[in-house]
Amino acid sequence: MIRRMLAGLVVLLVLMTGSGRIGVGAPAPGDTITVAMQSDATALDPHRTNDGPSFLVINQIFETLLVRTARGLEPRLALSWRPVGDRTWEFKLRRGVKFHDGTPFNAEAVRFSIDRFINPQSRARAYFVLSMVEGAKVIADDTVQITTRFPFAALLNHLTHPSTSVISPTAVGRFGADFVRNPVGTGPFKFDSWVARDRITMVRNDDYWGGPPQIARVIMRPIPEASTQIVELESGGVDLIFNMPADSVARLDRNPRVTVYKEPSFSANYIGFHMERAPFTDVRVRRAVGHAVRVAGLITFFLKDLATPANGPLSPVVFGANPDLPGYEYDLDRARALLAEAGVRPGLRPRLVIFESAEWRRIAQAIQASLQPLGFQVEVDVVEFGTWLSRLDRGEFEMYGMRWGTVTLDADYTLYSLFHSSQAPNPNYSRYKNPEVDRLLDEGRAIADQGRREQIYRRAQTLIVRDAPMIFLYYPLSTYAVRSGIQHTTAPFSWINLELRKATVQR
Amino acid sequence: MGRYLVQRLSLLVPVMLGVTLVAFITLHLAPGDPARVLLGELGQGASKEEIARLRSTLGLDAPLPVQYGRFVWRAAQGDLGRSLRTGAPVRDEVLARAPFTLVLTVASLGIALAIGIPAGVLSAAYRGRAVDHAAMLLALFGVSLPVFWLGLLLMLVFSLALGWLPASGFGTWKHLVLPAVTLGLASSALIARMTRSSLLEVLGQDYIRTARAKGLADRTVLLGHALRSALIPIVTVVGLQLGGLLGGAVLTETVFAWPGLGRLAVSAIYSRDTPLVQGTILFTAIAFVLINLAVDLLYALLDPRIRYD
Repeated sequence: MIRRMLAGLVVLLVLMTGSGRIGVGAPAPGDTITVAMQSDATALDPHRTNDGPSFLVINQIFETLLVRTARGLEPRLALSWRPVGDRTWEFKLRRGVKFHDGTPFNAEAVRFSIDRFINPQSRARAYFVLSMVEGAKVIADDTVQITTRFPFAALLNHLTHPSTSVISPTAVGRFGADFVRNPVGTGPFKFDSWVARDRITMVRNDDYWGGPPQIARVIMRPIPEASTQIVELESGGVDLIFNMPADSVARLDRNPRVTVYKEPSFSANYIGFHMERAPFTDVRVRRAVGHAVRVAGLITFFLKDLATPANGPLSPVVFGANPDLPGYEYDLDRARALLAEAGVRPGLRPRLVIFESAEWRRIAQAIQASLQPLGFQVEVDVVEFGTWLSRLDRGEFEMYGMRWGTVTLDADYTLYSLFHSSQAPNPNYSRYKNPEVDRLLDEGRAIADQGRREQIYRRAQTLIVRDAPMIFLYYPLSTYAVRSGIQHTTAPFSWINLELRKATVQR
Repeated sequence: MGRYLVQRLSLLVPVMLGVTLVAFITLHLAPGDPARVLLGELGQGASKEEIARLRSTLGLDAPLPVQYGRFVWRAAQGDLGRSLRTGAPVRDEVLARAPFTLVLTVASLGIALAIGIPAGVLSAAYRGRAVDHAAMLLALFGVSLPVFWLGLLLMLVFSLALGWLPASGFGTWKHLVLPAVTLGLASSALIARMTRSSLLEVLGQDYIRTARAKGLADRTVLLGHALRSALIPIVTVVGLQLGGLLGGAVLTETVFAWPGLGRLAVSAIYSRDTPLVQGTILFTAIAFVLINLAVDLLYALLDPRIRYD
């Protein structure tokens, strides 16, 4: 044990003496992009993780069958797809694609990945993404069929989730459990090395089917402190940072060496109610809260306009989002009238539980101030994330703050999870039950006609907003800042979807 | 001496049992379920069945005493288990981080001693004069400055404005400078104050008066006679600081994205990664006990009146 530590120490000291420069912090060579992430990845095996930083890296190394862009679903490893019966989809696969280890990508690799994903012995951490899949069948070398246990319309969208990336069967056989640290995919970058909590390095895949990327290396560095990330960006230690605190965006905007991007995201922020707890059992009280919160002010003053007001549970970029929902207008008189009608007297002290973050602290303060005129003394409980999850599960709250991302960009993902009665109390934390909504959500996931699905989801959202199991606050923008000279980076809908395929560097 | 060493080292066992037990109980008293945290990071819904499955895979469904018993039994055989979050062996994770923390600790302690002891000696020598006041005022600043703030300030000056040093991360010796100075300054303040008061106490003693009466130069009396006996409380403080630093300087490591034990421990606590928390705590506890032992042995070297037979 001592010997191993000493060996580590020697290596470290050698690295630190001048010649062993490993290119971190010092100006990166012209063809490298260094990206800061908030925490380290946990595993680079798409099936062994369910967190943002891991998916950010996985998205560079691996690919999914389909991707979702602003234009809708697009081919990635699958070229085309068609339904075969009501529970099966058939996919034609891209030919001539190879994994980084030379293994050919084909229908067998897809079948292997899907089987490993759903197999009880090797089930993925993000199993819920494909929990409806029964299995995959090889039809020909470039044709595969995926069958669900019941008709499930959103399957194609689920196959854009990074956890469903296709993995190299040979590499899994070779590395076994160590595949988490030896990821082999078909993506534009190949895994090179991982120094835990310091950096993950990837190099260009010269044989990439879409043509090799312009840049030679990508380095991802976990830097937990937002202020440190900003200093690193401004001093050139890193090239790209995500999700800057609202206060620093204006400053970065003024820095000529930095370009700030603000894009719509798939997320939404809510204040939910415990619908089995007084006074929020009464829909009039929930609506009153909706009318008492001035979301526009919150966005301008607290979020520095890095969000757009929400009128419902789904960000407009999500398939099935209803743009015509009325929402709750700021109207204190109306709120007071509703409370009087419900017979609620002043002096109530509902608990609002949020998880620790600068953004949520501010929102909670705004809610506290907004509800004071109604006679509510909101008690804000700021807890750490793990505790927050347990509190939600156990129902120890009257109100809760939550951010939710529709990762698959299909309405089913969010609406079914948060508002179907079968999902209470987790993740339907509001304990919302409406038989009509249940029926719509069951129907929406079962039929294939996208036009009809859209109508069904619009109707469901209208009912949900009317019942107000939550107050829908805003859709946060996804922000990232890049050193000038770096171009053609995109991060559609979320930072985890960072695309460096076409990125170029000029220093 | 040999017997004393064996006695002290055998104390390691109850200490280790004690700290791991306390850590284990505290982690389980805190709300939050590791399986839930592992599955729900994106705020998305894992079903109850999935959570239960993961709990049983991770062995979290066993009664607490059984879980602790298993941990002790394996630890006795040198196996600290696997991280719940990454699946990597805890021993490897801790040992891989330890050298980073060790380097940072040694560097910052070097800085602390290089600044703290001379400052303390000067203060004591010029007691009540401007030098003394200035040094002690600086020391007061040093103790009160949050490392968090100081770290960011140094970063703004030396990385952003001057561009001399990298702001964070690990790579060349240059990466070490800012975190080591940040940590070292805080410790140096404490060491300076301790040196001053300890030296002043010694300077008031009879044998110093005797030495002075013999006509020895002030300098010889101060550095040759007084400082040596004044070192005992200083060594104690340095030992405690060293022990604390070896556990990983959580804030400094976080601000400077230094991949050491402190950050490992914090992220382990956030993800309720019990085995990993146990591992880092165990490592820190062992380091603490060994350093205390070294400090006690140093006493005998510094003061011939102290013997351990």
